[in-house]
Amino acid sequence: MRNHAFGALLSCAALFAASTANAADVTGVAFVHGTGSQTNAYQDYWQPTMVNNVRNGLDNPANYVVINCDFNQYMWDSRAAGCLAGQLTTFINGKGITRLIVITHSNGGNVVRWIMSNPTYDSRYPNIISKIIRVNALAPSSAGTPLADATINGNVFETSLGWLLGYKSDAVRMQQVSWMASYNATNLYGTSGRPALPKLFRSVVGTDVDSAIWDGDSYCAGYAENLGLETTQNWLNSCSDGFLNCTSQSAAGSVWFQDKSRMAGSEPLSHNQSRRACFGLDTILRNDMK
Amino acid sequence: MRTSILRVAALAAFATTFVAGIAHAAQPLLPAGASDQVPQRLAVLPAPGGAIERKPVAFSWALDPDAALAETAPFLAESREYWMTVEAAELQRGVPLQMTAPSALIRISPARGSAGLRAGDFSISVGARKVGIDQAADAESLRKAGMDASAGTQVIRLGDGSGAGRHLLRAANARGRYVVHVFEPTSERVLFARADRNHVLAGSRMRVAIGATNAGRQAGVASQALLVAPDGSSQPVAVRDAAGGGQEAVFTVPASASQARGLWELQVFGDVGDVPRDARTAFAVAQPTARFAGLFGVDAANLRVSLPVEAASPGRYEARGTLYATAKDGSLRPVSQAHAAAWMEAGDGMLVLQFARAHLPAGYGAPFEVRELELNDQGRMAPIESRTRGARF
Repeated sequence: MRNHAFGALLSCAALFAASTANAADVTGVAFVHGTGSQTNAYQDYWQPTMVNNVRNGLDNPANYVVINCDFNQYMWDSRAAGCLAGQLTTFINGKGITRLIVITHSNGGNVVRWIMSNPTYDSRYPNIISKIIRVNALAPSSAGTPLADATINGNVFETSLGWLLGYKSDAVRMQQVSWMASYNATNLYGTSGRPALPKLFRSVVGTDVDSAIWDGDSYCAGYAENLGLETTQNWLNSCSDGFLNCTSQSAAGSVWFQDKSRMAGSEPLSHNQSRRACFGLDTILRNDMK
Repeated sequence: MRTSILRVAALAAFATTFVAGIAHAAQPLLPAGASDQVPQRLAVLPAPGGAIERKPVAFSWALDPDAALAETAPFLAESREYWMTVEAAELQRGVPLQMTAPSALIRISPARGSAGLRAGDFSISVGARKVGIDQAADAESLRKAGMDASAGTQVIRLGDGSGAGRHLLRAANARGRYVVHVFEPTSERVLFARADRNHVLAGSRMRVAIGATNAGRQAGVASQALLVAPDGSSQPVAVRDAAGGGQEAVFTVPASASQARGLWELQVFGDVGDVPRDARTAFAVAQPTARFAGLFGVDAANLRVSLPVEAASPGRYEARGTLYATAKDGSLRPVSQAHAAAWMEAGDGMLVLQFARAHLPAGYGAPFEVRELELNDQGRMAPIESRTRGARF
């Protein structure tokens, strides 16, 4: 049977829409978490100070949504990108959003990039893409992380011996460096040499971890968390946020800024701090809600 | 021979119908290049499971003509690490670990039912010299940092006294079995592996080049390799010395390849001199469930490119391509990206790439080329066909 797609297509030619708002526009912001299954990302992942400070930069601070999905899955999974598409669609329709600013953290950037790179995968994607004016990707794991490779814990010998050390999520498998290289080359856009994404995707890059016990800055977002990042940093390059190399955070789209160039006191943003109200990050994002 | 004749006849008949259907002359796609992936056979599979979109969807967006596009080279895996599995008795006696540089990281993960160990449980020595532990982290602190470490995992970074040589790792209170992971971030002994492409069709041959360096100079390597499917099944792959140095694994991906989602890996276990190194490469494997019929129709005025598809299996298929237009200086530049997807039953289908005139910068026009023309099986996450140069009009 022949499937003529003519006439029945949900056609959408997305131009690089000007991001300048006019009086009729309704601007909203979506917070998209990283790896993990969230049920209350407002409290647990971003925390209220971050979300509330940022959304107060909107003309209508009520136009925000905090996404809660299962990002332990592959990015394209219905529980990941499918869930995200559902919550964004509900938000866009419910609030009449015409200009959507998306703030992602870590692997959340990959899920949003999946949607923008594969607009025909789901009939809800085109409308979401058409509303997005930019993605502010906080420490996106665009090229994966050696920590994911390490977490998978070795080679097939262990599994063949029945030594499974515990199932690792598909999201961790996906964020292995060689896997992300394959997905970037085949399924995702925005990396070097590949077609650009249909909308602006710009990253905030964390370059270091500060965990000196005498330094109060080490305590923003939790001292214990930053202490662990000092150890994980050993798997990474000299420029990293403790979880991702700077090269991974900079691999897709464009770099908005590196932490020390904009943070108060030229502080670095560790991977945990880049989702929290640390060193003025929330203020920078709030001022971007136009 | 007979198959070819039948296929030509079928294509001709299909082209007639196709031309009649869209009222534009059908033309052959440009000849496939050496690096293109074009199915020579088709696989009949049941419809993919899961929630798969059924509505046809098309989308396009403008590209910056000054942003040159290039084929992405396959990933080059570099390894300064290796893994081993040990019994408690070995840890109690002392596990020899060959090192090439100071400050190595050693991660010890207990298998299920085995006793977790703390940093203070370990002693490390080189000959009679005791080696200090510079830094330690347990599973809890690693998890807080985002690393999904197994329960009972302990990481230690070697400190004073560490360096090149045979280290002995001991834990007197070890109970059960453990995975030991050694990572030498500052080592100059490096194993490399690189596949010759990013994706391949099931039943096709693939080559992974394997090499090693020591202090930046080519080094000898002796390696073994396993081909690992997304479902965890594996098979050994022969490794041989390559002309010009290094080694290579040349293998055929099974035609009845696993349909589990995820990538395939070639896992390489090498010895660079007296030091083990493990490396992994990843690539996509696709079952050829459909292919372009080899023709295209074009409505040049509206930049609409129609692509007949032969589907052997029901599924959701997507065509995508980059429109190159001719600039004033005569060069072809990328100006628009278009995708189109639809659910198809087994049989003949059609996908239409609708580029937008509005995406053409001033001064750009014909001749056009559709490059990076791809056919993807969305439900099975499989890149089926890819042509660097697809169509010209």
